[in-house]
Amino acid sequence: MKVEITINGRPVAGEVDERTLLLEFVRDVAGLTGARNGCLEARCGCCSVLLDGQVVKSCNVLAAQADGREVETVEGLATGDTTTIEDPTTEGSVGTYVPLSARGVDEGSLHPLQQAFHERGALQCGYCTAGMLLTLKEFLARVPDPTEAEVREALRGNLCRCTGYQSIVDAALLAAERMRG
Amino acid sequence: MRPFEYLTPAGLEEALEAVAERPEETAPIAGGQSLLLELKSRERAPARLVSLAGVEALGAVSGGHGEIRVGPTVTYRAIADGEAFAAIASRSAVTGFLTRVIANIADRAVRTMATVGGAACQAEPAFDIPVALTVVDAGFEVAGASGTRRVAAHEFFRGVKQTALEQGELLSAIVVPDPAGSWRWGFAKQGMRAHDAALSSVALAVRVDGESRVECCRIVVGGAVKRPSRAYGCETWLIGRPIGEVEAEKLGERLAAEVVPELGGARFGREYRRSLLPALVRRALEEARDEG
Amino acid sequence: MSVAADRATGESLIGRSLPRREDLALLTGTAVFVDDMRPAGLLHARILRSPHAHARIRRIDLEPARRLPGVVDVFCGADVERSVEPWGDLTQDILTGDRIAFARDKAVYQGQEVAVAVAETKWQAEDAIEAIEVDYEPLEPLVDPEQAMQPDAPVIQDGVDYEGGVGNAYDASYRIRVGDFEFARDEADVVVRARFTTGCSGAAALEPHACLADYNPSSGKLTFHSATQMVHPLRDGLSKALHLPRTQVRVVAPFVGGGFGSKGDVFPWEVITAVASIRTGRPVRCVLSRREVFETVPGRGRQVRYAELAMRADGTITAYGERVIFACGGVSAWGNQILRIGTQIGMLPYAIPNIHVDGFAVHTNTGPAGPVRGFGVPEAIFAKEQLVDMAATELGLDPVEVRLRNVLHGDDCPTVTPLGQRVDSTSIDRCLERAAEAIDRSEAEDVGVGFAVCMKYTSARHPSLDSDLASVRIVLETDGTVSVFSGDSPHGQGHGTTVAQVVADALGVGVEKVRVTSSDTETCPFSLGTWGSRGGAILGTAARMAAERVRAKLIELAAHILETAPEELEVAEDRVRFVGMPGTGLFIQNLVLLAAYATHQLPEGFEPGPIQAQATYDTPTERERSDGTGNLSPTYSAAAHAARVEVDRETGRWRVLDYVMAHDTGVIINPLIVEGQHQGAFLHGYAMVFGEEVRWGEDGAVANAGFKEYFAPSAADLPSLHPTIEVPAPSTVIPGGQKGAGESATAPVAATIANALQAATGVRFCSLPIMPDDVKRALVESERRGAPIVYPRDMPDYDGPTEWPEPEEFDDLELID
Repeated sequence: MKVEITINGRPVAGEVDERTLLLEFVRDVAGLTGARNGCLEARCGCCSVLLDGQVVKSCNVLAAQADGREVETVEGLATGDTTTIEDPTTEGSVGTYVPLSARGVDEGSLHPLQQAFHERGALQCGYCTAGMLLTLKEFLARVPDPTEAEVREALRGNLCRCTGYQSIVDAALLAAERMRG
Repeated sequence: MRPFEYLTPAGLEEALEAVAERPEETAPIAGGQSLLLELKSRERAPARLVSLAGVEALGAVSGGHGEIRVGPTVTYRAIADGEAFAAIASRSAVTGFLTRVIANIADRAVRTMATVGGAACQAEPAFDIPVALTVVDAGFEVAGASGTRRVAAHEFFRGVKQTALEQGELLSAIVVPDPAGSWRWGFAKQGMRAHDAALSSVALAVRVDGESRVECCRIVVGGAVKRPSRAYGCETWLIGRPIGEVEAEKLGERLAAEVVPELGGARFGREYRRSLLPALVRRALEEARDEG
Repeated sequence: MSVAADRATGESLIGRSLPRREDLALLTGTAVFVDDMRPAGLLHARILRSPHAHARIRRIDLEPARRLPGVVDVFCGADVERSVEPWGDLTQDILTGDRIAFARDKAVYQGQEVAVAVAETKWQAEDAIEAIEVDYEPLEPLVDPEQAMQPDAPVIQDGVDYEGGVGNAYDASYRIRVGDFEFARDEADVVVRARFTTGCSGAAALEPHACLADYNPSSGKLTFHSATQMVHPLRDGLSKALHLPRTQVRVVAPFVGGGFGSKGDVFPWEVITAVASIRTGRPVRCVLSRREVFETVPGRGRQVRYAELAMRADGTITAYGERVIFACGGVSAWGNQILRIGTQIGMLPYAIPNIHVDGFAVHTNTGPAGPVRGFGVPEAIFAKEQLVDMAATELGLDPVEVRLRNVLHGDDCPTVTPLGQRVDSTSIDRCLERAAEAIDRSEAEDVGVGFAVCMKYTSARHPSLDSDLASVRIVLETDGTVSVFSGDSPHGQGHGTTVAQVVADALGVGVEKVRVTSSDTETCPFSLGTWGSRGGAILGTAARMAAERVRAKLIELAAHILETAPEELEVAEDRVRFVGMPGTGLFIQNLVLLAAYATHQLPEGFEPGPIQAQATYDTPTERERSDGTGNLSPTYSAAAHAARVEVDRETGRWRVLDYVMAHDTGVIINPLIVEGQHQGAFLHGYAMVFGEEVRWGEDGAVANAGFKEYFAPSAADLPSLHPTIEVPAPSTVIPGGQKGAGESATAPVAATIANALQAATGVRFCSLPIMPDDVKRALVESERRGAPIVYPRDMPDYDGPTEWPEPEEFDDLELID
């Protein structure tokens, strides 16, 4: 069947098997592999994306269900072009470490959540990160000034096995503070 | 998943036709949060999915005449965020009750897709929707080739994943009574983790008179039993007592004695599920007192 | 932020919380994991697995699958009998032979590989394995390891001869014999004992195990991407199993989504996927489903410990005895190594003078047991640290005081324990004091406070892997940037940042100039991989050594050009400069250019070309002796934990109100990363108590092979964590002073919470996990009896063993050194 989904503002159309999951459409048709398969059971949250602005587990939605709708993935979070970054050769930048600009990215182009995750060490293997970021983006839009307990509740459908969650919670609170301005 | 064709009817009649054509090979899909799990694990392999998402009538909410009609494809999210009932002037606070229950089911991402009707038709004992709809005494409008019939909650839920829906029928509306009088509602559940479905759950509805005495009530247990189960003995005991002075411990003891848990595994056996009931009914009672 | 090493200002990169350099790709979704690779012509493999835990395989009919659309290849064990040879674990001499690609005549656990289908799409491969017909004859499964050890039990691996094995106890030879255990026990003022069991929690890394084999038929070369923790051992294992020269097998680890021990092996599906690519001449990927991960990826395995501890009236621990039975599943993965190392290290941080241990690694018809964060130490600590509390209670002693009396003291280091562990330095005594100060010990209803202490090895020399090395090659590129080649592939540990800090520090360059490549057997020198908390200390030391060799070359070259003595020069600010004189000397970039492009300017004897060096660090550790003694680890990190826990008597749920972690991690390279390691390690310890457990029914079927009923906790199920209290006692063996960071916060958690639960309820919980229904049932029984109880032993429906096993005779094995 033909499915067309607007992903990060760009229409993507494909002739796909009816069984195609939204996760598979995003990864295999649109070629955006930031949303990940962690369980395919709608439990771990690694595949979380936004569908018409609302977070969904894309492993438990058919591409057909998203036909004609808008999807936002982790690739759409940063405003700058971050897809073609190579490792740096920083000729002449003697002794200066600027965490991200050294890699060709303006710090300002990252979403505040991405920036806060980076600063607080809120990712290790990074497999759950995209899902965490999108879940939190939707949450902070609704609850801009959350308590720690509210952040933890908001993340109850997203598993992380590396961090023990504290750094993720801290990063969410830091990003919320910055986003409130 | 095995191959299937995917139909997107725009109206209820078209949807009914699509379902009735090859009923044993067809599955309706609303949000798909339960169905897709079963398709992926190949527990179920329908040859045809009929999406109800495009059927506007199934997603509508309306109120008046002492009842609220909830379309089966209304999502948890729409209810939890206050959108679904925004235009309804409920006189019994039943909408507030349903909102509280639904806002605490699973996790946000699941709530975005999951629908009230989908959960009702799935009829999993661990789900909160069947328990909540039973305690509010909802009616279920079932549409089929021969017209529409209405089924009461206690007849709709028949067992584990079993409902009164016949092959080829669709749930077309959930009718929630919006009664006059001072009704109060409470719900409590216990799962393993924050996002897990209930091992045991208790829902409570009471109407009190001018002196805050219980005039009539419903107590419904879920999770531990195959289908939402009324505790008639406890209900009788509760009647006539001032709501503020009900001894929750005694009610809990009675409930644990009355309910025969039917479900349990190697972990969380029947006795454990039963042992949760006193705490749950107390919490439900407290919520009913506090929230009204 | 200026982050460069500068000796003039005394600034070092060591100890700086640099945000990680690998974050950007992960945060923006551009990082490439195995499942993200998109080679042309890719085929998908799905594996048919045994639905039975124990069954004869009478017949396999692949034909129906071969006829399906899109199916390119279908094969099973009979098809590869001659081309694939069984393998052992790495170079383990004693266990070779029971790791096989497919079950042949007999399946020995549910989920064991039986056949594979390779197809154009995942769905077609899935359809194909459904069409394969297998005729099984189910056999009686042996799920309980103690039953599997009974003399009349059928032998699961009946075709393999294990040296040191007896029946299903394929390694029955583990013994610790220190001092005179029986005498000390008889002389003690109090002896406490209990039977402890621990459940099979899994690593449950969020990236399911995945590999992609790409065999080039014209060159005969196999390129193999895998979510692995160890590229070189995997390369060697694949080469051996497939009869390929190691020049023809290249293993690469791209981004890896967590491992925690569970990705450190040569797995059947990896061998099968490689064979599939060789047979089809096309790239083939295999990604395990979450169900397959729970059924077949090694988890901790269940352990049973009959443990006893003897104490003098003053609180001194005088003897410790254990009989350990470890359910290792149907094949021999790392089980016996975990038994040995976990038990031995688990005796720390005490110098117990009399120890008697009999250990048995036992085959059962369950999924294989293997390494999961802590490598057996958490299981050992769970028993021992509860026994310490039990003895203290009998003697009326405070649990903190009694531990302070027994732990090794930093002032006495270096010291050698009676078990032969050479502890170079420690602050465990101070960690314990700090933890005790930081926790609220006030009394409250249904609230209890518990403590536990541990030490954790920093890498280890395994009993059957006589190597503990890491190798690093460093190349100065002609623009002054630095390439670091390491086979110790990270899977979340941040090596790309930590190692860059070490190298930049040693070379005096900005950290942004250093790039740590992904692990690739074709470019990286042989290394053992990433496990055992070895990154910072072992890999870090190798990187430091290689960087220092490169530095010496730079200084030699600069001294020649500048016509000065090497002693006058140092590296800093991307230069070789005169000591303490900023802005002088030569840029490193220019020196590298000279070596490559202006070779006539080089000093005599200076090798032209790229300035590079390779270094290998092998730890000064010992092999285990036959009496169980030996210094298996170069240095030991330490942790003292304290928990304040509240119990809800109605529901049996317990909740951690406050948790304190005080650690000795030696010299920390990157505090941000190490804190993340501690907090993540805490999660894996907490999970063991909370409810993570793969459960096999009596039929050997996994009852909970999915996250729905495998209770991995979310953020809402975990307590808030304070920053760890670090009390560094720098290692004097590891040149940089580092100690392992990854696992020390896993080891004491279960014991800490169990001790707190006992304080809150009076119930001694001897079985992991400790779930709400356990607690509720125990509380009901304790109230009924009106006395504290031991759970599950004192429950009316307890059906476990009631006899206390006799220690094995001293002379039952030849003790040879």
